[in-house]
Parts: sequence; C-alpha cells; structure tokens
Amino acid sequence: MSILELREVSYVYGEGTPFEKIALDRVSVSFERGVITGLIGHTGSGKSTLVQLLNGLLRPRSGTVLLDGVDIWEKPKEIGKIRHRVGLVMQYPEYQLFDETVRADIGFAPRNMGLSTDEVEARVREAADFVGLGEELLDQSPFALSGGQKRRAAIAGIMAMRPDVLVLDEPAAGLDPLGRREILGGLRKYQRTSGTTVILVSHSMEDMAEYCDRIVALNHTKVFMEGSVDEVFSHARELSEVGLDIPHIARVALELQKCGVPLSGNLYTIEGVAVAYHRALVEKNGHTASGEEGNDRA
Amino acid sequence: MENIIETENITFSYSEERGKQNPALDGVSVSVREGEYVAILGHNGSGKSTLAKLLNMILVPDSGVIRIGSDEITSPNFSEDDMFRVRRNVGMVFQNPDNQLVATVVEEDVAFGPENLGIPREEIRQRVDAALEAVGMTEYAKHAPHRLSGGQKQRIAIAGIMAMMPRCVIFDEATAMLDPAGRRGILAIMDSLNHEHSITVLNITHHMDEAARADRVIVINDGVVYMQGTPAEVFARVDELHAVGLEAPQDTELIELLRRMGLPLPAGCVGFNACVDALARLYEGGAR
Repeated sequence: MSILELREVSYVYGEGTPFEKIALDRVSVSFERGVITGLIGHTGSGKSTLVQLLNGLLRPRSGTVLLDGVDIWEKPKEIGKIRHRVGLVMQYPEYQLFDETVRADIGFAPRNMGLSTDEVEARVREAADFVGLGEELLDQSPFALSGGQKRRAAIAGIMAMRPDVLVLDEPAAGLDPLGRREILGGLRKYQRTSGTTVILVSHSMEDMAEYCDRIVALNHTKVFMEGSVDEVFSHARELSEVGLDIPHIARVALELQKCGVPLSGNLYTIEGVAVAYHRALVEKNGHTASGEEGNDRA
Repeated sequence: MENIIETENITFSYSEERGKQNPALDGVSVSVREGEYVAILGHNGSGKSTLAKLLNMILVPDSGVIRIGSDEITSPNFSEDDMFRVRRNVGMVFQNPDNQLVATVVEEDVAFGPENLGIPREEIRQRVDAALEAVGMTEYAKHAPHRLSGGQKQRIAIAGIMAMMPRCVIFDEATAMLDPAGRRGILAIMDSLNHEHSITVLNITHHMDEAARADRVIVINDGVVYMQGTPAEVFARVDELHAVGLEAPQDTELIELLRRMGLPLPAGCVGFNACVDALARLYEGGAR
C-alpha cells in the first residue's frame, strides 16, 4: 500500500536558459506506507530534487505527486498543509536551529500549526524522547549542544509535527559510528513505534542495509532499481556500474560464496552474514559449528 | 625517514572558561614520518580536527611544542614568513569543498595557492596542469567549479593544494559528503599522492575501511592519544574501539562476532583478503 506516489514526474532546472538541466525525467515511483525506504543515487542523480518534490518545495514541471491518492498541488494555496504532513529534514539541519531554547526550537513547527500550548509541549517531549534528548537539555540554548545533539534537536523539530511521512536527507552525514547508530537506530525505533512512513536518503550502503526495509535507486534522472533491501543488493554489478555500491560486508559474502562457502539469507549486514556462515558450518560439520569439539569428533 | 610532524604534549582549549575543565586537546604527543600514510580516528568532538588545525597553524596551541620539518612553529620567535612556509608544506582539504573553492574557473582556483606564493607565471601554468592531471580533472580546466559534482569539487580542492607542492596533505573528513563513486575516487587520489608523489598523507575519517588503507592509525579520544599502531594492531582491539564509540571495518567486525559465537577464528584479522581467507579456511576444515 503506497502513501506517497510520483506519477510521470519531470523536473527541469533553469528551463529556457543555457543552463537548462533535466533533474528528473518522467519518474514514477511509490513509497510504501509504514516502512523505511532508502533513497540512493550518485551525486546529481536527482535525489535531492525528488525529496523536495515530495513535500511541495518544488512543483513538478509535469506529472503528479500523490499523497494518499490526492494530488498535493490540487489546491496550490494549501501546499503549506502538505509540508506539515510530509516533514522534510534537510542535510545538516543543525544549521537551521535558531530559537532561544531547545524546547522552543522543537516546538516551532507545532506552534505554527496553531496547536494549543499543552499539545505543543506534549509533542516536544515526545519528539525529544524519540531522538534521545534528555529533559535537562530542553531549556538550554540549542547552540550550547554538541554537534550530534544539535542534529537530533533539528530532527525532533520535524518529528514534532507528527508528519505522516518523514523524509530525511543524509541525517547521519559527518557523524562518528556511534552517532550514526544513535540517529539511525533511533529513527528505526521511531518508525516502528509511531508507524510513520520514513524515507531516508544516504550514501552509506551499510546504513541502508542495516536500517531500511526497501530501497529506491536513482540514476541519471530516472528510477534505476527499486525493491526490498535483498532484491536491490543482489545486483552488485549493476549498482557499481552507476557509481553506487553494495555494503562492504556483502562483498565479503560474495567472495566467500566464490570460495565455495554456501551462504544464504540476509547477506547485507554483519549479523546476517555471521548467522549465514555459522549455519553453513553447522550444516557441513554436523550439530556443532566446527568448534574444537566438532572437529575432534570428525 | 625523518619526522615531518612532531607534537610534544600539546594542549588546546576553545574558550577560557570552558577550557579549564574541558580542553579539546589535553597533552598530545604524536609524530609522523615523511612519506607516511596515517589515518586519524576519533568520535565527534574527540579533538582530531583540532589537532589537524594546529598542524597547519589555523589554531595555535595553549602549550606544548609542534615541529613541522625543521621548523618549531610554537617557538616564540616564529615569524609570519615562517608560518607561510609551514602552510606551503602542510596543505589541508576540508569536508565541504564549497568552503575551499574561491574562483569561478577551475584552473584559476587551482592557481590561487601558487599565485599567492609568488611563483612565476610559467611555473604556475605547469603546476596547475600537473595538479589537474594528477586528480583526473584536466578536461574540466575551463569549467565553473559550482557546476561540478561534490566529488569533482573535492578533486579541484585537492589540485589546489597539490599546486602548492606541499610535503604533507591533511584530509579532514574529505569524503564525508561524497557518494560511493566520489569517495572511491578521492581515496585513489590519496593513495597516489602517497605512493607515487611521496607526499605524507593524514586522513582524518569516520570510515574505518579508509583507515585500513593507511600505514598507521592514530585514535584520539577526549583530547588524548587513545591508541596507535598499524591498522591490524588497532582494529584487533575491537572492544577498546567500541568503548570510545568507534568500530572496526565490517569484515573485522564479522570475524570478531563469529569469535564471540565460539568459532575458532584468529584474532586481529584485518583487511578484506585476510578475513575472507580465514573464513574460507575454517569452512574447509583447515583452520589449524
């Protein structure tokens, strides 16, 4: 069941000028409700354009963007409401923090939606909780936070709108491994708890494999591939031909298969490959996985 | 080889009041040999970028000694001219190339550094051409930088540094904003700077697989050197890395996870081939 759908959408920058550039060319794609979809594509493939079309920051030159089956540009004057329903977290969103306290900053959008003070407060707490910002930080200036905390405060500001769809453009860019896990793991928990549809743009195939349910890959203004994580990452060669990749661990699995180790199942995350390898050993050596005992008995 | 970079017990704080309890660097002593390829790891806020900025004098330490080649840049009688010489020797490539490109034409941007060094015109021409060739951007010499992709911009930034003919280039998370192909391209350039042009490379990164390509890895944590050694030595200490919010490359993490599951795999397996070999051998039953 799709919640957001692009039908034959095209977008052109600088139309009619010498710098005219087609960013998206008759793209049709739908985003499933209640899952995390990863959006991948090389630089210039049209990812950022697509993301901005989803919440009406850009208007398609042709084609339609449907939210719950309704054209978001049906009533252009009400496009602001669409932006409350499709929340967009841009790259490096911490640069957009501006208010005096973290609480006020996270509450900015809900206040603008005309919600009551109590409701705004409830949403601020809920969103802060989702991203793991403690109560004690809410009355601080957002500028006193660490880089990772600022990033999370900015994401909470969008979550507080309780959008139907949350779109994030590279939310973990520039963060260390722990920071990435905190942000992306938190997002997954948020998605599973709230049921919100999440669309995640990233260059990290490892993160895509770990946190997404489905993947849409763009290449040169068109949709190149879409499907479950398994389906998409089973096309290693095609992906690398368009400047993308499969997770590093998936390469290890491929190489092991070439060496005659029969691996099957999820071969795109460390845990998945570990389980598959363990199972392969058990199947080969009987009930123990070739530990000291297993070999001795053999 | 002699050391191109030496720091002795350097400290640095960003502001006076916070500084006393919370120095960004709290007594760091490291040395880098000329021609070495070193990766610097550390979580956000660990102090690794601060260290980089001290090494080409964007920042000045509160205490301690820094030597670049034969120059002691922390010496009180160190002049502004000396500083320019140091910056010529230690170039820096930042995370966001947009912060580093200044001109409206690619070749003019690359020429900016050598022009400011007062290099004669003909030599600038040669240096710019050579630098653009080294990063594979010759055909873009007359293009406008802002119309290039992130990876291409980053190549131009690197060419701009190369045209100054530094002995050392510091990459401060220079691949963080790039797509996989862009990242592979920049890593290939880092390798060639080091292997073919004998330039010392310091790569500050959050990508463990990038660190695995280096000769040596230095891990900074909370303003001090937490560990250092070859990638194999550092990544073998997975638990200690996890303790400071870091991790090993995925292949090493896989081996460690399987070891915890009780499989007799060797500790300290680092690198794609070593990891695949160990796993293939265990499967074939020749583990010992």
